[in-house]
Amino acid sequence: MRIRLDKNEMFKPPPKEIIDPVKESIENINRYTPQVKVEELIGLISDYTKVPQDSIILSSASDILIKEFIYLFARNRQIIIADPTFILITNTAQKTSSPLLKIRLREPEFKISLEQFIDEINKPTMIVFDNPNNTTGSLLLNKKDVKTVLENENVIFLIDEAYFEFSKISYVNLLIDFPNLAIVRTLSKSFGLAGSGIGYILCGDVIKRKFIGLEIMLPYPSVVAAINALHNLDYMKKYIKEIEQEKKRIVTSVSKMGITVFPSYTNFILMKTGIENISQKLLKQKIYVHDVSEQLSSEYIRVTIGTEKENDYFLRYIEQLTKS
Amino acid sequence: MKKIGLLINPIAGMGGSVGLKGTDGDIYKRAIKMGAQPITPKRLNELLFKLENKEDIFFLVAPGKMGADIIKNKGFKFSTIGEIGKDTSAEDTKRIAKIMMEENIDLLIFCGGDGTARDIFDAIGLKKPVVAIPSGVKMFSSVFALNPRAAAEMVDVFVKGTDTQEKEVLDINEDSFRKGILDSRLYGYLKVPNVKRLLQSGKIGSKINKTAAENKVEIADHVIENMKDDILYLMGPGTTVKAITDALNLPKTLLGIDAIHNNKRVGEDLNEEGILRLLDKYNNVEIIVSPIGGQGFIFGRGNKQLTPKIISKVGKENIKIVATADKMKGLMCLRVDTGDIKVDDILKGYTKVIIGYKEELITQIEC
Repeated sequence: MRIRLDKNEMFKPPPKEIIDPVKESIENINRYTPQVKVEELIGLISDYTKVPQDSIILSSASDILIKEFIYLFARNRQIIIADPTFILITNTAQKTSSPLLKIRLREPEFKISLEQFIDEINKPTMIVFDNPNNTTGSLLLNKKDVKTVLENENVIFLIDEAYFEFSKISYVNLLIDFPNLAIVRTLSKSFGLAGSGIGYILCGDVIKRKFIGLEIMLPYPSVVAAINALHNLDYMKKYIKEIEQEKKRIVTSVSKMGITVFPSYTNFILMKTGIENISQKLLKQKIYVHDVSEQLSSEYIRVTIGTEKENDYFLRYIEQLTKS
Repeated sequence: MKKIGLLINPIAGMGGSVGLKGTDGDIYKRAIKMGAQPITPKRLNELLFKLENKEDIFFLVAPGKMGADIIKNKGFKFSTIGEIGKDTSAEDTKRIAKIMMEENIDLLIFCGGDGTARDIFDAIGLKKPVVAIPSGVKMFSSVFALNPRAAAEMVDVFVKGTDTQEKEVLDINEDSFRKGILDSRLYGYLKVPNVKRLLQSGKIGSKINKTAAENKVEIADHVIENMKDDILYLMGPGTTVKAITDALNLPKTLLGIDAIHNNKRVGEDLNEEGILRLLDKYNNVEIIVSPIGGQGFIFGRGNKQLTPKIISKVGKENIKIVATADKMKGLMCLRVDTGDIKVDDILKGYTKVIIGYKEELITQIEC
């Protein structure tokens, strides 16, 4: 048995209402994606986010959008990111020639306080935070602090809300007042569409204009999957409820084993196990969890909430490891 | 087949159970009188029990209670090397480690505490990698594995093939330690196998770590690019700071404080008095230090020459901290213990650490 709890994917596929139209769309795979379908998808994202259609940039997967955003705005700016953060953010920021400032997140809260970097943003700065943070599951900044940062005109601020549907915390309503804010989201996590790779940025006109030329042809089955997912929001809400229940069960179980868990606003949990090279040891049982040894240390792991059966399997082996 | 040296300090750790805080010098005799039992054989047994690649290892083992008594009859391939008397001492550790090195071992496993680590450093320096099984009363040196099981994993990883990294050996003053004072200085470095994680297939491809040596070169490039004429730089101990002077083609006292000015070394292995004399001569001074001791101390461990008086004169804003990203990832904060609470308080708060070329980390200094 091979258990994949390393990529923060949804634990089961979307329902029939989404899968069947995708299967049908394959029949037309010889055709480019009809523009009318792309427009329909943008309309649905607009309804879902309450953001006007002309403030939406659509792309295949949010990864591409994050990378592109960093490359577009890095010039003549320093970059501020959290440490740890989504590894793609770190890797992309390191590839630019801009000075990079990382803000260390400290356990147990793994939060950022304004005091840590407010003196640093008196020069042109791009800030890229994932909120909730991918690695720790924490919420980095509160709304008041986000506003204070955005009031500084030196700052261009990208917030990655990949896990918004789990945290239910968003800064979308700040877009109207702050043209220096952009929010990136994905349908890969809570909608269970990781394989279709649809992501979008919500932003004002000034930022959107910079993206002209990035029009990416989205695969038709992906567009169909996204359209139908947004027509059927209830399944996503139901899946999240199931995840929350399983999350509670896992937290209770591993806490009894003496493992430290940190509050998570996502579909994964960061655990401090006290066992060195824990991810390698789980791998021997074909249990894949995310190895965060490069960001924290080898006793930490990030574990995606899986199916009940997968979670049981994980709990059984981690308990064995804590006892050995 | 790897040739691995193996020696234990049979008296290491015996002072702990009887509250003696160490067995340096003749203290161990007191420990024995007080009923202390040997600890290191058990620790070595734990490592041997956990080794997975024993078929691929040939051990060169110190005689009798320094190793051979423990490894025999357990199915390991080994031969005994060197001679010891009834009582063992630091000299035995050093002599046998040297013989093992002359026999061209690939790795040396030793078991003991900070004192044993110092003896091993004296004998082999950075010439051969080591795996250190913690078994002493004092184990402040970061060279030690977390426990014997982790040490066994390190040996297995080494046998399969890996690179090495340098870890610190600290010298703790045992008399002070018994009085509850942690008086440490950086004694040297030993090389340990780098336990790399197995790479899992990641969505975007995991970042492969730079080596520590590459990271130090990047840090040096960043620091040098921002160096200014007419500033006196007080260069703290350690290999990260030394990478900067290496890049400048200047000599550096690895474990001491040197001063450089306009690309020339103007002070070597300075003490407080020497530094204060330079501070009188130069108006603009910066201190460049790296956290020491695995606990994140930037002042007060390993660089006591930088006294509170000097730190106050130079000023918090003129202190540059450098550290490899690998060292920083294990540190939730930095610490200071200058010996003057007022100076410690001034140093507290958020600070930036240079962790790469144009790459800094904001972290907190706590006391």
